[in-house]
Amino acid sequence: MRWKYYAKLWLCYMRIGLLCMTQYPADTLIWLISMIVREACGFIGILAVASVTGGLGTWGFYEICLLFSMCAVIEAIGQAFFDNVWSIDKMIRRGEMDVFLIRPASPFVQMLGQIMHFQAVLSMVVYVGILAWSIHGIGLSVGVREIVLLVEYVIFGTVINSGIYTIFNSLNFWIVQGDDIAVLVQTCREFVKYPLQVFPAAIQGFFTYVLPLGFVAYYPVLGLLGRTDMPVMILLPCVAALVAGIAAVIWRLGLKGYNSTGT
Amino acid sequence: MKKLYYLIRMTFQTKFAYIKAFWFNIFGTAVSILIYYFLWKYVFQSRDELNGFTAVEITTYVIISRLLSSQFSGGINREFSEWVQKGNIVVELLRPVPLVFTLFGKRVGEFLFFILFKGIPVSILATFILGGTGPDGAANFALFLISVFISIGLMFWIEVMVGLISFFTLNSYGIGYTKTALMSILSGGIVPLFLFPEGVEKVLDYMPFAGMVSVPVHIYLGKYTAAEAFSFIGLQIIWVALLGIGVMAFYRFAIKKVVVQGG
Repeated sequence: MRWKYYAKLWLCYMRIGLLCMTQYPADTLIWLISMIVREACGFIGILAVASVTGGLGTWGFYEICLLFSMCAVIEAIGQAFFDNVWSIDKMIRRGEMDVFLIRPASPFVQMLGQIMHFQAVLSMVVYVGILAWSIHGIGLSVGVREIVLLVEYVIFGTVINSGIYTIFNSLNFWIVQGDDIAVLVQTCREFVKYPLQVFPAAIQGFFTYVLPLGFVAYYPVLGLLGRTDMPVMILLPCVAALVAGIAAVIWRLGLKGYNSTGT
Repeated sequence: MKKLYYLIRMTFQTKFAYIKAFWFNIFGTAVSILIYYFLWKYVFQSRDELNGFTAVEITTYVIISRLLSSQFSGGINREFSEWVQKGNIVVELLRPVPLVFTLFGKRVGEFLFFILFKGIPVSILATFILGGTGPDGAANFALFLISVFISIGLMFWIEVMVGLISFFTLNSYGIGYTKTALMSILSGGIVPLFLFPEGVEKVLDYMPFAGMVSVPVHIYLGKYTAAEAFSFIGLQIIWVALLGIGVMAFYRFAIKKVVVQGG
């Protein structure tokens, strides 16, 4: 069966990634610290604001921690296993995509497997800790509904987040240096680490309907806290399917039109 | 002096050659200004002042602090690390100007470019669009400028030190990111230092980092008395001297370790 084959392939890629990581322990440590410090930077900022002013409206200290950690978990998963979409432009310019096309496995899987950052998995442990701590702090009773929602959020949040990066990085198939747009998208992503509610309606709408990054963490948090009438549990898979669908179509179209480099 | 002029001119030419990177940089800064502007606006819906700051003053704080701290992502540490890793440092060491002088010239060039093409236009535009306030009198504005100019010295020495670390590790990216994040949070570039617990605030006020963002912005807003302003500027100068002595000692130690790879 193909599934079995892909599982085996993925395990091999993970093994390579792990070996790469242990090869340079100091390097790994620096990566880990730099990732956590970067994430903590914005986090400390908003926490300082919230603790001095007694929360942002309905958003208390722990709710903000929850949102930030949930956002960071998805970003860490993306960095760990989907980071190589950022190399699409390089691969196209250097004609490295050719190798994937002649091997008997999906080019997309091969591309993702190329680079794994297990350091991000380590940093994720920290974020999951904060997540659990904030759920405890809010006093949320975790029942079946919450667990289903959390599982959905991890899966579909990752699909939405990395799917969007895939879409914009795949633009490289048609535009030279198209990853510029992807970088702009990533810059905009800063907004969704904060409660979208504090931003004007235009920005909220943008991250809900145009670039659905709000579904990565903000809406799942609202769902967990029971603060929204939106059927988050149904919307999450729908949005994820939409994003994944668009990403798949764009990736396939791009690959079809790909005709290596001249050299 | 002439050498400095040529180094500055060279930096300007490099910057113009990579003008696209400059636009992305502006976009990133604009996003971060907007995020904190809206956050604070939301906070000030339910209050009129915070620790003596009005909404308008906080808006100004956000604009100027985000601008000043956007310099932290640049700096000469990256180029310096590259010299070490690629071996170009040999050429730089052979030049008839001291290596540190070359680096300083480049840093001043980068700073002037920042002031002319980013600092002045963005602060004026943002102040008008978001509704900030101008400087609190001509005297304070002059002191603000002096303070900002002295901060080049502070940033320069820290960047040289960060660059020197690449003599010992090859992961200069991770270290660079850590530097950016730590400096922005410790300097008050993300949120004003008075939001931190009192003990922490006291310590940070007297650290060199405060001299890069917190001190100039407070002077700009007229939050310091003349005596306080002068003593903080004096402290900045003392820090520049101390850092200079320390980093130069480290430099002399590290430069002996240079091992240039062949090829």
